[in-house]
Amino acid sequence: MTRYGDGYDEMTRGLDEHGALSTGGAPDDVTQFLTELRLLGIGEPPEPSDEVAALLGAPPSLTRRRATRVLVRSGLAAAALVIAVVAAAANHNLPQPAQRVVSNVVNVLTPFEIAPRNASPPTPPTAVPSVPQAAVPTTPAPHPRATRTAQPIVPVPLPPSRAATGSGDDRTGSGQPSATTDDHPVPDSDDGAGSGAARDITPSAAPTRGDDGAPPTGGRGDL
Amino acid sequence: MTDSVARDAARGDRDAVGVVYAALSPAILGYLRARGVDDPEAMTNDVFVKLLPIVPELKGGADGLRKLAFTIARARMIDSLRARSRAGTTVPFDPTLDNRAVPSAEDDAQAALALARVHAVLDLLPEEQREVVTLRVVGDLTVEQVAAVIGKSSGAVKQLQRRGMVAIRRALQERRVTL
Repeated sequence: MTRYGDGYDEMTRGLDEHGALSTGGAPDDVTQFLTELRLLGIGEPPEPSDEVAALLGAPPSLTRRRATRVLVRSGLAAAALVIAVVAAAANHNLPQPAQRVVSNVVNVLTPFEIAPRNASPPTPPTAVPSVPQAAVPTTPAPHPRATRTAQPIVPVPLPPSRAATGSGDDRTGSGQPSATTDDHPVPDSDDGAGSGAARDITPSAAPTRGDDGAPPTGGRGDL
Repeated sequence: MTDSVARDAARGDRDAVGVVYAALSPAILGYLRARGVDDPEAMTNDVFVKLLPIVPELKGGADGLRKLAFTIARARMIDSLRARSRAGTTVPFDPTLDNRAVPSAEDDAQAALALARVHAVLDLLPEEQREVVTLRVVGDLTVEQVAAVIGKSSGAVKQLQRRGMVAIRRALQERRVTL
């Protein structure tokens, strides 16, 4: 391993190139000194520090491995949380402020886009015509409960006998054909007409007056 | 350590890097101990922290690697001695005065005594002679390598070595130092 070998003769031969050791004296003491000096450089390698161990490619220490494991787990948990929040935002399941924030972040920072929850514009602040002033049937204002009846309401002709008497199930009490059924609920009016048991009656879809312009009479819908 | 090992280490072979560390670190550690550095093990690690990243850029085979390692070690040693001179001197540990020693520490005490004797002899030499003798014997460097490490010519190194060995022989002959 060493250039001089383990023998003193070889080692001193290398040092004695100019006869430094051949001038007499106490060769035994010089030999002992050089041997002790030489032994300082022979032995086990020192324990490598963490930095040297990393450079040598040794496996990281247990503490470092544990720290790496914790870091990976934290990263996975954070990624799962982000995915859950974005998924909830895409389904509009978050509270409104959080929904706005997450939607903005996703729309700005990612190629995906979260559409606004309500595609319809907000309800204009127009007054609903009152019953006496409404000469013609008006289209009711959009109402959350009316969203499932988007198709136009078609008057259903009644049998002549029932239409003439205005009795029975003719809830309008005006002798007009009933314009609504339970399959077509309509929004409530603001004037209180059609409240209570008459909530399923459509005051605006059905004529609220008779053909002669007289106010409707009878019928629970006018209570 | 051979040239092929040095080449493999330069290519990033982990096993070869380990061989380089195993071959050089004891000599570096011994050199730093002989020069009286306070914490030779830590400084040996510092040397390899500096050396190993630049091994891929190294040319010159095993001799070049050894030369560079001792150049770094010598620079660190000089910095340490300068820092110590600024901070004040420390008293080396004397195991014969330590009554806490237990029989199981006998080997350590013997090693410390041997190191103390080596220091006693080396301290008699001028700095340049001490450097040359230490690098030649402990570092196992050739005259040319020592010349490259300390920045002198080969002839100057040979002269310093000869004078150093004569001074050591004379000191031991005159019993100024007892081994």
